[in-house]
Amino acid sequence: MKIHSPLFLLAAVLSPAAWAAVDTSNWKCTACPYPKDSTGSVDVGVIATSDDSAKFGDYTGLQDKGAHLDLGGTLQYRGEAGGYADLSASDLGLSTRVLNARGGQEGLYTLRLGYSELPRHLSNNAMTPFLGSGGASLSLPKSYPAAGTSTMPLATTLQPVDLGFNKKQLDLSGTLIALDDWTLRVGFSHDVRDGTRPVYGSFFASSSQLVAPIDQVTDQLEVSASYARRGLQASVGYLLSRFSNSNAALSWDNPFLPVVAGATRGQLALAPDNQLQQLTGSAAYDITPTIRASAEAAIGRMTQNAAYLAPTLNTALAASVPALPARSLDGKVDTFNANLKVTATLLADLRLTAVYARDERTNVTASLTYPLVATDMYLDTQTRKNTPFTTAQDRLKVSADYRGFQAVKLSAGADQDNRHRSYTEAVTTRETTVWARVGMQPLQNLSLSLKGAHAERESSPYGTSIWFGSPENPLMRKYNLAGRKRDTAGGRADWALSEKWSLGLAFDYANDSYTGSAIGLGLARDVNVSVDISAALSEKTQLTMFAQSERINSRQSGSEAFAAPDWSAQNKDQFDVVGLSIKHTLIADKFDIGADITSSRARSEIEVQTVVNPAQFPQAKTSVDRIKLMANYKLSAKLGLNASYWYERYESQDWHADGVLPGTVQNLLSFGQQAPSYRVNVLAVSLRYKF
Amino acid sequence: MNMLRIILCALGLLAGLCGSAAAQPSEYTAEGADTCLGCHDDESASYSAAAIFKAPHGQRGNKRAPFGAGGLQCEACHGPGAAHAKSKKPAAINTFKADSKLSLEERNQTCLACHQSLSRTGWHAGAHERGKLACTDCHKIHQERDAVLSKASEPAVCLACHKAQRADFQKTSTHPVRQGRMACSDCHSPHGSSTAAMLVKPTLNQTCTSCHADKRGPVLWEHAPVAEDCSLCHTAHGSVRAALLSKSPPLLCQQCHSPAGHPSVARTPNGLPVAGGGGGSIFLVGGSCTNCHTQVHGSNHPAGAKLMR
Repeated sequence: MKIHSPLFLLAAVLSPAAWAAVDTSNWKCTACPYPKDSTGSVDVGVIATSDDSAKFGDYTGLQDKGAHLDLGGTLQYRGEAGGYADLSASDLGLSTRVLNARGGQEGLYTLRLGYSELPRHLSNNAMTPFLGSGGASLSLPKSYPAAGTSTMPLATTLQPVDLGFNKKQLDLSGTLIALDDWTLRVGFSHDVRDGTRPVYGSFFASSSQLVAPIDQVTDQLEVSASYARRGLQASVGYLLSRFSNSNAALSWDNPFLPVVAGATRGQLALAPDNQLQQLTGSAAYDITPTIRASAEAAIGRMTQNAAYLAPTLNTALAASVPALPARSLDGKVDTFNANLKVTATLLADLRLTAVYARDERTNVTASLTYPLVATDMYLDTQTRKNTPFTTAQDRLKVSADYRGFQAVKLSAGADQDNRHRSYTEAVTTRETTVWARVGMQPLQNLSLSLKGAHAERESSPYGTSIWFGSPENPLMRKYNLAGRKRDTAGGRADWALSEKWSLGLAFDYANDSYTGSAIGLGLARDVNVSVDISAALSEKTQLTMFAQSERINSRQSGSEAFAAPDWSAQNKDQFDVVGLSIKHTLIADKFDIGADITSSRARSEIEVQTVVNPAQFPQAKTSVDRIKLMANYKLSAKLGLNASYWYERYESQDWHADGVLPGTVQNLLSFGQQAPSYRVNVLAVSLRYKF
Repeated sequence: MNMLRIILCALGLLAGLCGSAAAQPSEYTAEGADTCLGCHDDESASYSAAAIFKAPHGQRGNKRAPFGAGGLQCEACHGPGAAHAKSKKPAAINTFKADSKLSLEERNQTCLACHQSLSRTGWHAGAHERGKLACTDCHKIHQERDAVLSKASEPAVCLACHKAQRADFQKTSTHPVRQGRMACSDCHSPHGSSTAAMLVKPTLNQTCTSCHADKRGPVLWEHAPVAEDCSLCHTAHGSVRAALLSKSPPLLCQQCHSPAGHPSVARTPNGLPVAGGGGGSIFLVGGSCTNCHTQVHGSNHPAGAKLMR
């Protein structure tokens, strides 16, 4: 006997198909304030930045001291017959400019155009002696090479260099609703990244920090057709994504005296052109009013066939290097993703759900034998075959939700995750998880939720895979392959203390124990707690505050003797953040002010315990204080004045960078960048004219 | 089955099983929205009867919208309103608020009756549906612009509940969410999907490489964790260290690499530069392991087997 849930009956009553049964002949909507034709606004102002800071300018476009144009606006058109158009623009005077346009016929078709820019600023006082930064070939002044950085003529050859790139993206898309139940969509995006980024290039154990060019384009085309009616939805789609890189390689002069003849210039491969094609399909169907099934599937192929670079630029070595087995990789990776979900409401308040999913990444690229050339210096006597990695994952999830108790919601389930990998020490892993969650409302104004889970992962016999010509320690267990016990717990309380005040408390805990990993990661633990307070102090004043603290600890072991563990390391990350936000209406519908204040402290501590002594690294830390004040004043019905002030203090310490100047490490020619710090004030004033 | 329900109710064990959808008023108003707007002329930050006419639901030229030809206007969503118009009592109509006479599922069903397109196929038994979210917890219908539909303002809606991620986006390295240039929905499908963490693509790696296409490959010399799972080294929401790394090198690398020789050596503060300049180990400072093994995302160079070219 079928059970018809009242929800499905409700859906039938509410659906547009049922509207016709209502007599609306007298519903004239004469009081409806439909917008008149075109409306819009123009924002014009100035943004003044107090200091130069590449770090502050990362993603904000405010890297330069001085005044910047603040320009933006909106335009909306609504026609009586459903024609519409929206245009919005912001940050037109900055390198973060965004432009969006949308138009069409309501309920029939939509055309969209989007353009955006996003700046990345990756350097802070970087210095390099290399010439030609930004190009694919770096050279050195004639006074190079030298035995080490201390003997290099750095004082006379270092030049400042800016690192970063601009991301410019153009989006075009269209949606057509056809035959009531069908939606056709086509979307195209053109993503251009232009600039530089830091990389390293080495000759054996001497390395240089280099400026690598970025001149990349990613084009993506997506086409889909979907069908939707009550009880059945389905879709098919096609995706084509093409990545192209104008630079196949970066070559550079060796600033260090070559250890072997001819090792004077090296070459790094840059990301090769590649392509993804994918067909997708999905369907969801209400088998009965209480049983629903949905499925998704995607089949794809990633390909890459860029021409190989020469194995070495060392002319003294090149003649002895055997021919490569191919001119290019002809790389092919097939992907298959599918899942099936079935939910059944067996009783009015009991729902069962089962999900099965399979994800495959099958690398069908040929595994061929390549000569081993070590950093343009040596030809190894051994050869090496490429290892095209294949992974497959099967997940099965079953769960039950029970809502029978009025103030208590129960959920529980079990998951199994099986993974199969090629070319790895443990071919398969199997992880089983059981979990439960309870939500309750013991008081009208108090809701609580608790959740917990326990997972155990086991692997097939752990073998030895050879990497880089040397075997791993037999006691090593890589953390994605190792046996693991994972316990997680979480809780949350939301309490409306009064009509004005509410309190939120939350905690999350996760503990990973790798009991069988003598070498490698042994323990990882994450604890996160937060407190939220919000208050409606008056009809005019809203206040929210939060404080959050997180501790992430881990322990790992290693063996210098390539035997039993003889060292261990503990890593402790701490993060604390507090925030306060207040909004206040000084004059109703005329003058609003507000403030957002955030302060965060991040610390990372590492202690390494060897047979000698425990050794503590200096703290790596970042502290950020951010104050934003806002005021909006309506000068007239059409004209408004907006003002904001933004202060940000950023201080960081990182032993990876601090004190490491270009000449500090004998065999490392670095950019000499120090961990960034800045204090920046930003004042913005703008007028908004509405029409 | 009816007998079973009767037995369960009689036992009082599963009282909720005996419930059913709240009885609905069935009579519509005489003049539709004109009746409603006769009283509802109030404005607030979260509600404006007028603002809906600038939003999609209020479009009169859309035959699928409540205010399109033949649409039930306000009562398309709020339900028959004659009783409410007469009594003025909120309880006589679906207010979409938590204290509404309708259950959360019934309120959501009101939305899903129309919004049944592809993006909602994963809603059923998805994480948010299971978490008892109302559509109106995230979507504000009576506003000219629904904040959750804007890239810049969407994260604030999501992070009101997702506290851990709220903190993550304040960390040392993050995606540009705080700057309003990336939205949660760029990676996640809030209406549900069958992938872990409700991702927009079938897998985590496909989600990441939809933007980071330069890491997609395939390349000649693959780095196993890159092919398998980006999150083996990176934490997507935020990290206290650069490049969203979950741990600093060399310890990050030494969690997997243990051959005899330099990969296994314990790197201590003795490898840091000494005060006054000089010193420092290439195995520790700067990029640490990546000073030489720079191609951690894989290399297509014939001599890149050790990810040094």
